[in-house]
Amino acid sequence: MLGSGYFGAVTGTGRATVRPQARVREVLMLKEVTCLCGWVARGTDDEVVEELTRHAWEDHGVRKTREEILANAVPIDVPGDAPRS
Amino acid sequence: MPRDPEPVVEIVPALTNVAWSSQIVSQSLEALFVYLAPDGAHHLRPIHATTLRVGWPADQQPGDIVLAAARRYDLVPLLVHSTSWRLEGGRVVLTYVVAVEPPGELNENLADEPVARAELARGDAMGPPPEIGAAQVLEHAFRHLAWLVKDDAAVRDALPAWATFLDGYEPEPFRAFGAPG
Repeated sequence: MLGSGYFGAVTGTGRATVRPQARVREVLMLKEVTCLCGWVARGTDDEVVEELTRHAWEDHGVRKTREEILANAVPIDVPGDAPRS
Repeated sequence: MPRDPEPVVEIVPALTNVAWSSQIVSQSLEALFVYLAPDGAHHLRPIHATTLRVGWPADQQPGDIVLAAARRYDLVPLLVHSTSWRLEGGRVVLTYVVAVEPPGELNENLADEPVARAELARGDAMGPPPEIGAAQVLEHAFRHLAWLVKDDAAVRDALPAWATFLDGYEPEPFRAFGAPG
């Protein structure tokens, strides 16, 4: 898991000051599955399994198992919105 | 009341602080499968997306990934060439045009669409266009091929049937900065 941190604020002189507290950006680890038809699902394991199961049945008329779906899922790093202190 | 601690040191911000890992899928590749028909070029796109996107693992050549994707759809590639890039959804999208043989039986996951002409998306001298559509990416890809087919013998040899068709496109080796005119 990767994150990025800050060392204080950039000052008016263009220099940064080191403060005792550093903010760390939250990074969410999600999965992404791309179907051969181009359809993409992104979310937690349970979310991509649910979405792709529905897509496979409704759009292609096939059943997919959780194992099949997750075997084709790739992890993606998605930065969270709120910085933590 | 205790005083705030003074900074221990002052440092100049780093020029770049982007983390790097050999495991990161660094970019997204966009494959434009095109073939030449009697009525002009056709784009074979995924039926549920405007273009095909695939991940680019750090340990693989992007052209190889795009060629493998073409074969996954039973297409026979004639030429693969990167034609543009753009930033989209926080990812760098590197576009490859893949000229293929006219498909015999179209893969069920692909839709066959004639390529229409489009105005290029243009930004200004310091920034990209606000929006870039698939038709504009294709237009630029064909302008790029129009230049290559005149300039690069390998491309000319790979696409002998395309020269007349590409004559209709303004050869453009690179994206132009600035507004037209």
